Amino acid sequence: MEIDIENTVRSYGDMVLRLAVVNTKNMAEAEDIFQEVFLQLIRNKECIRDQEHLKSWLIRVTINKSRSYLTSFWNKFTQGFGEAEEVEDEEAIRVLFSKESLSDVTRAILEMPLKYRKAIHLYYYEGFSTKEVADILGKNESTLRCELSRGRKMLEKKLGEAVAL
Amino acid sequence: MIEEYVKDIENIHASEALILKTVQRAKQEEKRQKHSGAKIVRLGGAAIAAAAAAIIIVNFGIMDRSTYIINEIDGIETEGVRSSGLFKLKDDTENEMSEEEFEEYIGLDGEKLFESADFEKSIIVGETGTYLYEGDGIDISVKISKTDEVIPDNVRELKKSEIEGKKVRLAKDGNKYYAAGEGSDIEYFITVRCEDEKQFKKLIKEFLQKLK
Repeated sequence: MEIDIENTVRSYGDMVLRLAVVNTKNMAEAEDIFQEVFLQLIRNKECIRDQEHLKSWLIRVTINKSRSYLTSFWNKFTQGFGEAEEVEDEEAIRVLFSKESLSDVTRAILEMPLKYRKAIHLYYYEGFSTKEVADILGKNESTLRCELSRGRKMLEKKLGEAVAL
Repeated sequence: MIEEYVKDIENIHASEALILKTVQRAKQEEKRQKHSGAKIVRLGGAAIAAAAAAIIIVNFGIMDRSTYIINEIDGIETEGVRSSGLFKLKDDTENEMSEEEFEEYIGLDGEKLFESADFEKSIIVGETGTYLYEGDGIDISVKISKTDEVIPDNVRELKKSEIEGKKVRLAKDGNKYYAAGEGSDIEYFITVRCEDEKQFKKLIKEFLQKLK
């Protein structure tokens, strides 16, 4: 498939950046990941089959690059064990979301462990089916369903109410 | 409830500056790739022979300096890694790839990957391929992907060996041996069941000699 890089960055840029932010909770890192993802696309453009494949490829590479950041020595050294536990800092929220405060549900999702956070994001925000999310994350569909269910329970516990996602 | 999350997330936008910077870098990378591709085409036969000779000399030097660190490992963690277990491939096969297609995919240019083991089967799930080889007292599973992470977390943290000038993580669990690393654009995770360490080292060396 022919890749027009400018159109691709404009079409999928927000999706890549949002996923990187949800994964890393760090705008500077998310922007670095953003650039690396599209550079990697240029290096591997011949393996992209069609638009649908391009989208899932971009998501997979964004997740992998975010994971590399979260497990990097520098990140472990500066943030403890891989990621900030909570998004409480108002300045961080302003930088990440361009707003003063977040809804309780967003805050609760961002405070979840990464594996639940990315599953919830891909399923509820990007609108993929459980089969598609499982393929993207390299998991069994039943494992993924289980993670989504646990994720909902965690949210219920945190928010103190039944979660109607 | 999810609407609130969607609303918050939709406030995140790639800035025009970030888009332009990325497009500029991507175009430079495209140019660089075209340029280096053209350069290779322009190389004459003599230059290629000279380069090949140089590679052989360099490889010979490196070969002597190979360091093998085989880490003892207690099981393989497969969190986030699909069907990585040796010989326990799942039934959700979506595609199969022939030996030739696989070798072309990893850039072997018609060479056989292992001299002492024959290609048996491949299983491709999404962007990850698992390739099984079988020889006399040897079973090998080679898991490769250009986009997915195929190396289990506990292997990623192991000390690296240097073989054929390439960094690779080696591990052992009973009679199962593991090797994990990266090629120019792939990540690989190899599981070998064989008689002894010597045989494992030979197989990995063979693999690394051929890996781009």
